[in-house]
Amino acid sequence: MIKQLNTLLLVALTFTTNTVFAEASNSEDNLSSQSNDEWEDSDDWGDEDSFSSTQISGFLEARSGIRLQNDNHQKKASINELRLKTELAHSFESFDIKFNADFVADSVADKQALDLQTGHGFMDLRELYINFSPKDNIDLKIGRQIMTWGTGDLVFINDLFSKDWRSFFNGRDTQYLKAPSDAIKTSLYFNVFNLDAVYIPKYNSDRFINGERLSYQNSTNLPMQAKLPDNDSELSMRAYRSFGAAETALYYYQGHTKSPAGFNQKANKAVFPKLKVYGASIRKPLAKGIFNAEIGYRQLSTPQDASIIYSKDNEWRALLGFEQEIAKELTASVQYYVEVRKNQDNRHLTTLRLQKQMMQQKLQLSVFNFYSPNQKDGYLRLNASYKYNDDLKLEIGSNAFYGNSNQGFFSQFKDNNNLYGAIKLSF
Amino acid sequence: MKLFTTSTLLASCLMSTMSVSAITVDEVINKANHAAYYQANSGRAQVDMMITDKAGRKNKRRFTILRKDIDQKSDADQKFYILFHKPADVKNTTFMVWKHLSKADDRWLYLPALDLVKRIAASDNRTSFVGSHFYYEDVSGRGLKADKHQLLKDEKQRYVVKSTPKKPESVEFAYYVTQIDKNSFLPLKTQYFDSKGKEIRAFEALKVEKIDGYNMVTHSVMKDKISGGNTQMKYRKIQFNNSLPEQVFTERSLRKTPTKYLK
Repeated sequence: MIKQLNTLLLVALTFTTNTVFAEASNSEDNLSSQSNDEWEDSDDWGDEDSFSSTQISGFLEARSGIRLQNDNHQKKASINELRLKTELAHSFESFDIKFNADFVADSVADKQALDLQTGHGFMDLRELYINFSPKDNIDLKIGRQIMTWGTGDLVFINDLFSKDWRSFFNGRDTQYLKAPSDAIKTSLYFNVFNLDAVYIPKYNSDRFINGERLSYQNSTNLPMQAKLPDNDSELSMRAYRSFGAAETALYYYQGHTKSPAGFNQKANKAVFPKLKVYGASIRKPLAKGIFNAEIGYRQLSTPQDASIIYSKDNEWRALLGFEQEIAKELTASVQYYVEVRKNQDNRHLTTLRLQKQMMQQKLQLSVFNFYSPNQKDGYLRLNASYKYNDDLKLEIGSNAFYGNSNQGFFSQFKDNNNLYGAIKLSF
Repeated sequence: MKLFTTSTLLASCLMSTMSVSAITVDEVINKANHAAYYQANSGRAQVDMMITDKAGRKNKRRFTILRKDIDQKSDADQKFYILFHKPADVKNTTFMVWKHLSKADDRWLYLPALDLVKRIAASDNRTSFVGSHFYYEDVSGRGLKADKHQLLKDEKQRYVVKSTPKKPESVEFAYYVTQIDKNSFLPLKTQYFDSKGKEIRAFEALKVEKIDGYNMVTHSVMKDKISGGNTQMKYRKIQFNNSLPEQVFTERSLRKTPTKYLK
């Protein structure tokens, strides 16, 4: 009996240990002598200092695209450019400087003369600033810079920093949606909250769709003539703090609408009404994803004379969003956005983003769709990019506007549907 | 003879049971968890990764990582800050994780070209970390309470622990077996198995060094036993107890690199 028990016990013990040890093979094989050669062979980065005071990087990119329909007002090619980005950063003892410019040879552009404001010409100066901390809790960034805040995904309520819609719709990389601003950015950090104040001495409009390069539906089909505000500045402020995992912010903007929102009949030019925006946002984890909500009230000044007619009223803008990883390396995000006006129709907008990564994240597929259920129009962005190696990336994508009306926010651009491809070598 | 063998075996079994009882599995995994993820209260390292896919093509990553333990006394919540150096297209991208044991981690990604601070939904910790074969969980630690642990063997130099997930539906493995060095308590090898007992994934320490008095795995590999790819990871420029202020782990640092703590 005892022997039987013993055997049983033994069998049980050996069974557990053996099975596991068979699986956990080579358990005695100490820190394996796995060859390290692979690592050494392939151009090791060695001990190169990642914090050397001067840093140079950038890329060389060729990007071409075609329109998917005929437009008598535009060339068949939507984009055909060679772009060399150079970023130079240098850290001094108490401050940093950065230069970031794109040198562009663009055969589709109508204007080749250099204009840093609109990004025309052989150089798009993206950043040129000095960055320092005069006190422990103050950061100052002075010069040309790119700024973003707010919680929306390609939808902006309280981010009134300049956007480059031409680049965005034309099939350039998403980073070019943000146009640079010449600004003084002061960031103050307190115990209770933080404050950013951005002063832009000279008003900086969006790089908006004006009929040049990208068509929109208007009566004449001529490029839009617009009158930029003279000698006026912009001020953007954000006060923010976190409550646990919830990030909250209050915003204020004072300046002008970033794209034309009215017409001066005397001057026969589009105008940019004076604008103030008051807003707030929250972003926090919710269930298995991230929830965000943002709101803003846009208040326009009254026109200075009767010949100026605004195309927009004061309005509320509100956004709700949710993002979650719905399957392995597949992220979905949905947003609902609304513009509410007293004397005009509201505009409702939904967005859906699906992003899938595959092959060790080398292949990335992305779908972004804007759809307005009440204006019955939309905009679909498709993109696939593949990293052939650490330096070389290939990309294809398309921009498609749809809707029956010619007056919808997106459908007015439907002559600009395009397909593009790019090859990019980073250094 | 047979009786003799049985008795010897029984004796050795009893002895091994006795020595097993000298340390409990909880002590082993707590010490291993501490050695792998919580040595000193803060630290910094430069990490190089070499990702080899199933076709043998290689990709590399280089980043500097900062870590701070929030509760200095127990192995609980931590904050991480990562600055990417290479490859060139992710240079200066920053990433921050507030790791929580009791709820999902908070993660933020900063894209410098857009000046965009993006919050990342961290629903699944078993997804690839920066395209490598390491998962988030491998880099920042898997909660000890996520699995049931069983001490399988008390060897001369190593403890062998089998861990079975409490929520098997949330992970891709059925169980994993970890070999823990008795001296340093560092996990030197972890093998993940599917429900049929087939090895699907394996971590192995390739080099251990003593730095600032702490033993640390400075070179390791994670192998995908199904597809055949692997990622090697090397730590350099390691510093422990560098008294990082908690303010380093905020949005300010995402936007403006806190170089003095990274260098």
